[in-house]
Amino acid sequence: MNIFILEDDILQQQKLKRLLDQFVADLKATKVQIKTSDRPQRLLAQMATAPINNLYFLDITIGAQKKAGLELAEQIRQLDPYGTISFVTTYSEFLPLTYDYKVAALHFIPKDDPQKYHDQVLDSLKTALAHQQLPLADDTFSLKNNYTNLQVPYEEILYFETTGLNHKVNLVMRHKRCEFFGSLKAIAAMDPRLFRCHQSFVINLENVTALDHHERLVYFGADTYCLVARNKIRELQQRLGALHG
Amino acid sequence: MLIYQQTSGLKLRLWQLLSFIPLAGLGLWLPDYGIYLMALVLFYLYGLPAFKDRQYLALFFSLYTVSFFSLIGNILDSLAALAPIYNILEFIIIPVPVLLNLVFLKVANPNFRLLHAAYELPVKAMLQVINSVLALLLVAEFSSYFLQALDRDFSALRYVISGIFFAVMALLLLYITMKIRLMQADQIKELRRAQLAQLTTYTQQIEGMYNEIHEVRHDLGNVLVSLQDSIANQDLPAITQIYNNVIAKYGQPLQNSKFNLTHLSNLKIPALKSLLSAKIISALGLNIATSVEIEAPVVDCYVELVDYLRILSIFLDNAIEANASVADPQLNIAFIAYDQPQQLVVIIDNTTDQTDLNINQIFKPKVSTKTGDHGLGLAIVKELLDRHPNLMLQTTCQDGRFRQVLTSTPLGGIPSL
Repeated sequence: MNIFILEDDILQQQKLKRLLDQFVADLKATKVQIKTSDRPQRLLAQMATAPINNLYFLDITIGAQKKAGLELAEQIRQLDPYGTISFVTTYSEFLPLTYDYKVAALHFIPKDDPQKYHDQVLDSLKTALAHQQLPLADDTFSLKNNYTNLQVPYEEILYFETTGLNHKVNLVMRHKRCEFFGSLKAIAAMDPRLFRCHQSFVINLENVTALDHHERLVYFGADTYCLVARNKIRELQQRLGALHG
Repeated sequence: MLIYQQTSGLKLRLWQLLSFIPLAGLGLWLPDYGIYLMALVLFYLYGLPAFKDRQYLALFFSLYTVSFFSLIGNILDSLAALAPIYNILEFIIIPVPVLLNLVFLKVANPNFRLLHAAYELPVKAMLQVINSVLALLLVAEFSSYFLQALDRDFSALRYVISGIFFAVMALLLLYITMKIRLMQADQIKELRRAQLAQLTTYTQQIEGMYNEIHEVRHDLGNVLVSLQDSIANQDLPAITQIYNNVIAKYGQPLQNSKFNLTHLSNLKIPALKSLLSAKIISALGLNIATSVEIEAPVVDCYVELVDYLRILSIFLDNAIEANASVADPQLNIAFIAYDQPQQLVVIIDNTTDQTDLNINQIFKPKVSTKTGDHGLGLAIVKELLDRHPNLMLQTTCQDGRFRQVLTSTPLGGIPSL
């Protein structure tokens, strides 16, 4: 794994590098290289030879450019979509929610709070190392059209449902729900695991936990369920049998 | 049918349109004007699900449609009967009621949607009265047909009844239009009053902040003077002590969440700003660590402001309430405005003690973790979302954090519906 540091103050740059060197030794992490730079362009050039899944510590203000670090983070995301990015800056520049949304930033690390600085640098490193162990999820449902860019692991999908508006579909997961533009018909055709069991629902067969013939309900855990159409219940039963049997 | 769609703003489904003709045709077997009765029942039944069981509203639209059509048709028919080329005229006049209805809606422009939104208010009682009057008129109208069928000489009285019918109907419509206008005016007045109150609190808060900064400036001036003395005396221990004192005293307060409000200056929509400031101030009052991030100016929310404010205020109320029994409560709000392409994203992120909350249930009416009338909150949000194709919501609830992400885009950039 590579760790990139963007910081134009040499003293602070070296301070962070020393701290990271020490953490890397403490955690007995191997194959970790730390690369420092004082300009965004230089960091991007260094990235050209580095594989993905890196860890980045970025200062926000570089020289006269007030948002150099934030802009760089957006460029990094294009190249390294699953890398770990933390910003190292002063409190007045904190925008954690905004940059969590824009570039999935992990931490805003305060330069002027020694304890938090120490803790969050360490946490960033641990998070990035843990991330290396995870296999890259390639089993994702992805939908891209003019209005939508959606990527979700199949295992998280419970079902899709219609909303009160044509073309607006609601995706329901265990801890999340989100609306997007699409059509149930097209979604049902995208994968054999997806099944249209009702005019208003497309379900993920893999996450079905129970089927109630009597009430014609299909369950995903205790209190999440959707309706099954009368003429689909037999087919649903067969598909479920084939999958789980 | 056209009249019904124009007035109620409802689109009938294809199967409803197709089934309407044979079903209404059944009415022809009934005596005389059974077709009208049939149409009345059909409109009512078709409309009921769309109006979410607001029976009186559904009834109103069906009564309105049928009586309007029969009345105008009747008058025209009578007039045409006087003319010599009756047979030709009879066909020409068929579309006239539809046109007349359009003209009326254009001229008076009553906002029937408001009746939807404010159904529970006095509207219900008002609709009951109006519905009974309309029904009475219909009965009178139909009985006049009957009487005419019995006795040809009855036509004079029929004209009189038609005339009265017409006058009463016109008055009724006028009354509804006025009433709706009044209700609209009331709503706007209410909004203005709330906005003014919120702005007042906001101003007080800003003044408080200004005073605090002023005080700090004054203190720091004094500190500089004493530092200067200590430096002149080369008194390092004294300098260290002064430095530490300053850090201890001002390091934290200036990071105080109260100063978050300065971000609100990037909200260029006054009503939105006053709503946000009011909710934030009340959250701070409850000791919830609150932060606001608004990096770029927010100038447009791309949907009707009233609806947008309603949604945000429900989200914020819920966020504040969810924090009631959390040990270390937090509320974080961010507005992210994009230029290319235009888009506004609002994130409301809060701690919650509802760790086992099922987010797939909370949008259904009457399901709420709260008591009292707050329970309707998210159901209202759902209804508003279903009305605006350019609003998209994403909800997450995991590990004691609840997050709503609402995205709005200009209407032009979405699929035609």
